[in-house]
Amino acid sequence: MSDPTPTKAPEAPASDSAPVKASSGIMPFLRKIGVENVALVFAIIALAGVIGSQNASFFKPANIAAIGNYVVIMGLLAVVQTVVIIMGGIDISVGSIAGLSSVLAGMIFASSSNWAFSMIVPLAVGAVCGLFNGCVVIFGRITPLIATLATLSSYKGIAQLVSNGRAQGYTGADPVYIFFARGSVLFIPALVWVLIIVAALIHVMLRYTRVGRDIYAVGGNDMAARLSGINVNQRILTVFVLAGVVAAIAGILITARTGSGQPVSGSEGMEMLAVTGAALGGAALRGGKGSIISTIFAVILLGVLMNGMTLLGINPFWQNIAQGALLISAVVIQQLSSGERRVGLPK
Amino acid sequence: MRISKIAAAGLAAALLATTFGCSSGQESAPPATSADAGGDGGASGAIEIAFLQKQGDQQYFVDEIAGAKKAADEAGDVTITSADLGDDANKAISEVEAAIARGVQGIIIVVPDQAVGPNVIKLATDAGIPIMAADDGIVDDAGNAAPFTGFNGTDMGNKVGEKAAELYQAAGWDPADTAILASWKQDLSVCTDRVEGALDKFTSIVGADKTPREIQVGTDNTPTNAQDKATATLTANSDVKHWIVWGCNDENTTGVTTALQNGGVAPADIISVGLGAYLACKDWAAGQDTGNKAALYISGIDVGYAAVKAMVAKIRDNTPLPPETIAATYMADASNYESVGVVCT
Repeated sequence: MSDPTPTKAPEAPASDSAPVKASSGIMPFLRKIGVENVALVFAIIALAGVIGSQNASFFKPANIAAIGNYVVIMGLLAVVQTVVIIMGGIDISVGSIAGLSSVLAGMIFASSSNWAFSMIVPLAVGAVCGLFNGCVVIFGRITPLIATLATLSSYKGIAQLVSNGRAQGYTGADPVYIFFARGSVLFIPALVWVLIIVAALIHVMLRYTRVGRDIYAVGGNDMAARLSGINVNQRILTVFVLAGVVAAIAGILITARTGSGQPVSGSEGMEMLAVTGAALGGAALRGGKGSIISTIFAVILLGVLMNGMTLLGINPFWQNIAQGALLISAVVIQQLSSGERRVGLPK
Repeated sequence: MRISKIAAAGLAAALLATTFGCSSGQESAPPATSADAGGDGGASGAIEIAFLQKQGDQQYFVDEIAGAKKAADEAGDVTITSADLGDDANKAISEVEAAIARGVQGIIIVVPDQAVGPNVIKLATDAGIPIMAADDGIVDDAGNAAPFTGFNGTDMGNKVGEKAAELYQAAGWDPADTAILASWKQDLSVCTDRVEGALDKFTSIVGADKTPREIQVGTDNTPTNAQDKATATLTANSDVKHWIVWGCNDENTTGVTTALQNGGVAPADIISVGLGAYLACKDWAAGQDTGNKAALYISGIDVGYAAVKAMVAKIRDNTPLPPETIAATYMADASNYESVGVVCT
């Protein structure tokens, strides 16, 4: 009996989204930069145009900065959720990890007054939480959805337990935390820089490194990936640890923004916004497809929508409806364009 | 050679950064002009007030916005822009930033967590925009309270405890087979203040020796969750014959009361005193025999109205915002809920 012939694993797509076919005209150009990206940019421009025509304050630099700050926490979690989804998984515990990290940052800073220590420990705890998620998935043979549904509850409980359910510490007088909360570099808020840097690093990892190609391969076909020599378990653990660390960064920024460690407030429900951002950006929940740039555009679109609806004085209840409608519209358009037969449950 | 180029580029970037558009975040932002912000000199013409609320989907807060818009309509040329902050402290900061960015003349905020108070006040005062807290007070980083309109949580709890004590004494129950079931979202300090206030007042009236044991139940402040938790509590305490119920809001007390009644406890063996009256009133309106005996009515309409009226006076006439405006509360029951102003939808 011979060893199975190694199968070539799928590689990261040449563009930011779907693989491209060679042809001439404008379509190759659009495909190269990603049809989803073009659609999202057009949607952002159209939405901004409509809102701005009704209220010119929308285009004020301070309002643009406010939109930027608004999307940072959601953006960080959506970016890392995209990586998990590309790998074929999902991590809905990221909001709880952010809450736990936030409260730890607040408590450690309150007791030590050392900003560096108060940031390093939550990052380490975030990594451990991610590692635990990955171990439960791999060794417990539990699907990522169920595993992280369980840890969503557990990590939230730990955050409430250590904080007794109350906001902890006060970071509003520390220069470093103040810088992250209100500082700016080159007119861009420091918070937004954190999102830009994290997103850029993850984009580079996915597009230009072996690890990134392996993640696409595992999401595309994990059996083929394993047969081609990829250490699938190691890659899964890497992605979950990455999710934990980025969620911890989000938690630290929540502490900076709010001035105290928040066990639940600010992070509860963020996991669903993160999935919304990733799905709106075209990440396929079955794995193997997705891009960081598209997710960032999707998060900006959500931020513009939310800011605009408040600006125009639209009933807050409509915001939930609009968010859901936007997600359904985007995903339906993507699915219909995929040419999948409309029979039975979608794949 | 390459290293020196990188060093030079880094130095250039650092110089650029320190020269253009960089901020440590510790500087005060330039205040908005008086025309924009309605600062010290007062402002005329159209004005916009941002009314930012936690849990904006609860009826109390929906009423509060209705009261705010009523005051705005009466003042004329005043726009109220509302936003639902949920329980999200981070969103509170984002919405304050967005309101400042679009140049509102005043901000009224019900914070999801009082811990964000210093940062919220800092943002508004740096921008020269008057800010008022509604329902839950906030302080700046020096401990100075922002102007406040609303209710006192401990005082509300005291009134609930007082009514429960009155009904308990009238019922003549034995404390040995009676229990107090207190339910609330235990990570919300404003809720904790209410239930602690209720127990303190109850104990001071009936005496510590006649105060039944208290069973504390953590909920998410929704009726369904309170009902689920109370069902399990009832199972675990089958020896209890009489129940006294209070909680953070009507959602908790009506949920618990429903669970007790579904579990076979007769309405006559339940003294439930709610907070809000907007759910308890439904049993009263339907003429049901219910354990929901009374509820403290707090009018969101009154708070929203008073807050906007004070803010408009500040912006238009530069009348100082009153440091504290405590709205009136009324104890409602099946006999008087309509006359005290409860609108039962």
